[in-house]
Amino acid sequence: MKKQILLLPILFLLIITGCNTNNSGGDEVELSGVYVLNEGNFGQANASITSYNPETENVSQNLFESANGRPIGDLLHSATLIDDKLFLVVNNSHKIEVVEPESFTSIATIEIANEASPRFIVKAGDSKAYVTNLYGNSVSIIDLASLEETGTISVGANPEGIAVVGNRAYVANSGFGSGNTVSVIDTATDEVLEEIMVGDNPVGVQSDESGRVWIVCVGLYDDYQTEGTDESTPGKIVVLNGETGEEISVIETGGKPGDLVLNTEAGTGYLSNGTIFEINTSTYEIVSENFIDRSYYALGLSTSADGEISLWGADAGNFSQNGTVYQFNTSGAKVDSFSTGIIPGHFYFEVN
Amino acid sequence: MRLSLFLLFLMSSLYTNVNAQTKADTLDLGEITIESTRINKPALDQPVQVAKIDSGHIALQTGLDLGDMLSRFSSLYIRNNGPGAASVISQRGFGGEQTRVLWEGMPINHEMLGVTDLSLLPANTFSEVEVTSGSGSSLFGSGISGTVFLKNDQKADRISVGQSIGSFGNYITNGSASARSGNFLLSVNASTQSNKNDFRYYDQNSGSIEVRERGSFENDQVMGSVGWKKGKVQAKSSLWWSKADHEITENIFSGPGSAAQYDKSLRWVNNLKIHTEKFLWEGRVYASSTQLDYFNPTVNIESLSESNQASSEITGTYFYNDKTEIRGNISGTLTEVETNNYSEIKGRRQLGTGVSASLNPFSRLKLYPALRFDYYNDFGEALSPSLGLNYAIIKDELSIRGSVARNFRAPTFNDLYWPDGGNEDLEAERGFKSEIGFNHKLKGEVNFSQQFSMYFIQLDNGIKWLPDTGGDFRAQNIQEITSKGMEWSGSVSRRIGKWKLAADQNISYTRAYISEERFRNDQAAGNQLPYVPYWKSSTSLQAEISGFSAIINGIFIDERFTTEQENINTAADEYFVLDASANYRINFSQTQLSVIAKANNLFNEQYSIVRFYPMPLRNFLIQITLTQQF
Repeated sequence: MKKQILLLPILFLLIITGCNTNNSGGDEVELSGVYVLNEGNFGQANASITSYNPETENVSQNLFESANGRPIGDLLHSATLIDDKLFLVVNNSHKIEVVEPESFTSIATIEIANEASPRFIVKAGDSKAYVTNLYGNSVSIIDLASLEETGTISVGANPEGIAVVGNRAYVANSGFGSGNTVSVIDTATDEVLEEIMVGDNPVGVQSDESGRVWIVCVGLYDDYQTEGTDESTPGKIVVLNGETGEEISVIETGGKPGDLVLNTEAGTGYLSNGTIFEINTSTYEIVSENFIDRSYYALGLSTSADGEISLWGADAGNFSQNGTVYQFNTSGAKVDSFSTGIIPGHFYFEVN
Repeated sequence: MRLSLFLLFLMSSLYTNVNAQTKADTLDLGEITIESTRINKPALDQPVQVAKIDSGHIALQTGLDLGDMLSRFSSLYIRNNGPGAASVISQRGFGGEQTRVLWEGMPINHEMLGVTDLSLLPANTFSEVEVTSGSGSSLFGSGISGTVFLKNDQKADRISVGQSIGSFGNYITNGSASARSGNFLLSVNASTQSNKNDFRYYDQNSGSIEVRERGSFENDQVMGSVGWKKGKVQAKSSLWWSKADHEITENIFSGPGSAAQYDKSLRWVNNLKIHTEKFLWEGRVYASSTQLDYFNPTVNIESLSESNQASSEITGTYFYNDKTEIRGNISGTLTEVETNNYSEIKGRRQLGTGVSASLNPFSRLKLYPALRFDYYNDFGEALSPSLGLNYAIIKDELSIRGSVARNFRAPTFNDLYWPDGGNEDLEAERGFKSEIGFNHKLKGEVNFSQQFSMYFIQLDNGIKWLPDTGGDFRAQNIQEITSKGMEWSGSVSRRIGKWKLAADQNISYTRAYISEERFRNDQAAGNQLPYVPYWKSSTSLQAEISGFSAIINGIFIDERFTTEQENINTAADEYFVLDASANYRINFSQTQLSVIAKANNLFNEQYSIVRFYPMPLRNFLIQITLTQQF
């Protein structure tokens, strides 16, 4: 445990700042299963996947290892369903596990070269996907036929979230807190078209059915090395027109926002920002700063077969023991809860 | 475990032949006084459990670091991430921060981290190592669970050079020289080691045999001392320079990574002892400078640090009569840490004063009361009382003992000052420790000694990094830990014809857990602490005949939970590892040629101490040493 002890606080910080804000439930689905991706502790390779059946309330743990006889790896960060395959991004193992979405049986493992630290994957055309690489300062191109990394595109520093509208992919260049741009990639040519200034520390990116791109800018943290000055800046959400890249609106949230989930059909979004904010996605106004009076490490939004919308909040506890997921209705009332693995950090909802 | 039990049986059989053996040729275990408890009495008279690893054992452990050796010859559990990676003590369920490591009586725990990385210390740098279960803060200051005491005394008038070659690109060159001139004794020993650590292992991730990457390690050590003695005055000045460069490998799921660490240290300790008829005066001046630089290009981390420390201590012992000694001491320490991780240079001033006694009110009863007061400018003061007793049921053969102590541990610099989480309002950890047990020794055809202890330790105000109410990780005085268990160690030796045979065994059971919820719905309360094995056993068998000696030692480590919830799915598997060494010495007049051959992990056990950090399979090392006596 050499210098790692010294670095433990940094790792804690990485875990905290690594809170994902990718779309983890904005799609309106008929819910048949809730899957929680548990990051596990950085460096301990104890990531896992929990499933929850809302009808039977049955909870199963450790799905990937049960299905494949091996641990999934170190820091399971996000998941995206592409062409009926589920792509699990295992950040500190620098790989993407491709599995059958219902059984979690492994189909392939995509190695990301140069220990680039993959964060999010998104489909970027008929035959390829893009993966943001936090330390690689790049986006990997994944061939969806061969399930291999075929190249990389250089973007800004420490890219996090990514979303695609038309043939434009928007990549948040977090700069580990110091960035303030998104790179726009032409998915046809795999070339960077432009960099757009947004807010400080952009992390989360997602698109909606209207072709808008929602960028969660966490804001600058104070530099501990310059004591006596406060260089921190408040967080905000920047909404862009995905077709043109033009700014539509800025929602000044303040604080240090984390996960954002959208239900644009209902005109509602929820943001974890110390508490859970409710946002009107049509007027870009904050409806409530206290929709739920506490924050969650990750948020998910689902629609059941009978149209019931649920907000899911993942409580990571002390980040070293099993977490808890809470289910809320659209009034913000707690409906249900279940236990997860260590550091529940992302939701995936199974569609009937 | 089965093999350990078998070896235990073997030891028993050695002992049961005591009365059958009539030859009066004994293998003397020797009356050895103990320094790690500051009670200069034989082990039989100590109030706590003490393990002593002598130069004979150490010499055969060439190629091992101090952590490897302590793991094999004491009840300590050593946690490390594989060869070349950090190696940290766990004693009685507590971590490296709570265990004080002393070199020539001075603490060498890293000021920022609080721990001593034993991988940086080659075992044969030291002439003797003592492990004590906890004479406590009343004698040494900060420390909760116990003390590891490192000594460096070289035999006089000899020069020695050695070369080792081992598996995985392991090369060690070492040399030592010592000479006596008049009242002076000069000695120096040096070693340089390079090890690629590119061993093969079974990879659970890929399901195939892989070669471990980025475990290379280079370590240079030079230790020298000048001693002077005239009449009742003696002085010793020791200097220790060390340098270690090592790559830091990640777990098998994370790839090799790109991190590397560079350590440098220079330590200088000066001791003066003056005996008079009724007094022993001891003065000690110590200075150290430690650099620890860590680089991880992948994540743009460049962590640089330098810690400097200066301290002095004066101790006076008054010998009232044969039965009563009273000792008082006063010490002061200045520490300064400069690192690019902190916003400014941080310092600490510490003053300690204490009084202790060795009382013998009845012929069979010895009492060891002690009281110490420590003042720290950065977090306050701590008062540490202790009381130990030893009662001889059978004089020079069997004694029962017990001790109670109130200990403390000072917060580390990182706990106090690490940005975004360090907490300058921290208080010291406080611990209550109690222990009962017995010491037993038999001398004769067969020499036999054993120690047994049962202990209970309660830690209050334990420092733990946990999310605060705002969700940010922060060092907090929030943890209460209870540790209870037992330790047994036994040694037996005898001579059969020309053969000298000896066996040692340590068995420990540790139940250490969070005793109170630290926050609402804390699921760790009552659970065994991560990486604390319930059972640990180490065994060694030694045989010697006319210039040839061999030792086999085995270590069993029970399953360890790796999370706070006793999750069996993520537990680290139990393991048993058996090593063997053979040493052949040929003497030509004043010259000795020594050849040591070692085979580690004879059974090719696939194991890891920390989950997913594999350890090497079977591996070998050979050392040739030439020694010239004058």
